[in-house]
Amino acid sequence: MFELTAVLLRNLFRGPATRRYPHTVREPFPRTRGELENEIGRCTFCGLCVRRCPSRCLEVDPAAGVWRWDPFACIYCGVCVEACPVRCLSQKETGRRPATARETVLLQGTPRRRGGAQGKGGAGEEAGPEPS
Amino acid sequence: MRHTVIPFGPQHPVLPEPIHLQLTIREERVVEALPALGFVHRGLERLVEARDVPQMIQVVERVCGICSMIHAHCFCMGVEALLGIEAPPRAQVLRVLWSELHRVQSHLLWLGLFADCLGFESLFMQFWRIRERILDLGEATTGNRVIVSVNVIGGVRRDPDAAQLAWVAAEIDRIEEELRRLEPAVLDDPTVRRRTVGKGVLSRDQAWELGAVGPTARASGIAEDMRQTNYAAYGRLYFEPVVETDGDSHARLRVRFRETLASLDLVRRAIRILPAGEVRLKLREPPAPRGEIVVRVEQPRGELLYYLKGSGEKRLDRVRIRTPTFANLPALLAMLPGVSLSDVPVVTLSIDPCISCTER
Ligand code: SF4
Ligand code: SF4
Repeated sequence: MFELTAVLLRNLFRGPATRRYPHTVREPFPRTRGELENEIGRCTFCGLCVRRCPSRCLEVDPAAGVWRWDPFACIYCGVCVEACPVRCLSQKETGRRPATARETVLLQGTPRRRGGAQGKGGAGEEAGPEPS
Repeated sequence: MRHTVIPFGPQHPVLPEPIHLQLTIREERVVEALPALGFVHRGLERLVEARDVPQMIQVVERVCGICSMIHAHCFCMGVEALLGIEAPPRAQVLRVLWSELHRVQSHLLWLGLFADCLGFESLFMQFWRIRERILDLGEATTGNRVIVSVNVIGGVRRDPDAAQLAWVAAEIDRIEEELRRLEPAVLDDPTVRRRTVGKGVLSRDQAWELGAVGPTARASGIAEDMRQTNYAAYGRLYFEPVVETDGDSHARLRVRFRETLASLDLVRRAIRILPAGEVRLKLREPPAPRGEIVVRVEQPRGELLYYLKGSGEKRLDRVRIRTPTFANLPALLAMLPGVSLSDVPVVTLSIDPCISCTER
């Protein structure tokens, strides 16, 4: 009959089990899948992340050198990060802050094409796996 | 004597998800219950036309938020069988480990909701507090909190190291201790017993005839659990189903509580037998399964069935998902007649209805 009372008494002295969230934030676990980051200078706009993304929230435009991500449609699965052949795409360990308006993240890099464009390998379709 | 028809749901305080039951009542007792479904249909099966095989993993994970791991596990096993490959042994055991963690958190969620539906708020808080620690184990080892996204065709994406596994094992011990402390408050409490004993009885024959699955069937004395088919690594874990024979709401509560403890034990044993080695096969080309297959696994609510059909293309032709709640609804309709109106919420919740899964 009074089993729960003992548990409740223990809880009284243990402090709250919850956090006051926006003020106290727990340290993320290592390798938690959070916000996407793209080192746009190294991106070759190969479009592999776009093709693998299950939620279709990425877009690239190789001609304009634009990589666009819709964080509100993203499911943070990390599939794109695994797919990226030059490893310029990564995930932070923290999620995004809550927001009141919808937005897309647009990163502008150097467009490739037209005679090899920027410095390193104007590369063809299958951007070689060598990092940078 | 006149009959009254009362709508129960789709919006009702005890229902976590929308299902509508049209109850015919005579003198406060249910005479007949008719269900209406379709409030949360999302058309996930049809997405197979637009997503390739690896992308479907993320889609099937979303069939049921609370047991995403097990849906993806089932789907990947089916595709692997069609491709004629098998995940490495370490991946098989890891899949079991995460599946069991998911079962524990799903059962804890239900135990909390059930306590809440009995008006036992404090017990509800206790279960959910404990559940949060299981979610932490999942997040630390897989990277995501609920929809873990850890399965791929040919293995798993994460490989917890020894330190993490030792921490999981230690946490499991502590969680089990806390749960055991709550056991008398759940199972022997007089108010809980008064609300559940003898309520919504499903006899063994009825359960068999109506095709009940999972804890609903096991509480009626049918010792049937898909884990007995020894898929993945269950064959090496000496799994025993939890069975009760009373068939009432209290029996279903007991089955789920004991299963939670059994699952914690399975996690512990999985860690003990975890072999070394790789966790993911390298596929040379994108998977293009050919043929058809039926895969069955045990989800927290019962047997989950996937039918997959592919014709050697990168997209499957058909994915058919039959979830356990769908199989348990006829049993629910058989339990309700004779129940007093005030007990309808308790009996409805006692099958652990997962409506989003059912409607996909
Ligand atoms: S994390 Fe997943 S959903 Fe988000 S952009 Fe990458 S692949 Fe798409
Ligand atoms: S896969 Fe990597 S390199 Fe290719 S477009 Fe995406 S971010 Fe850029």
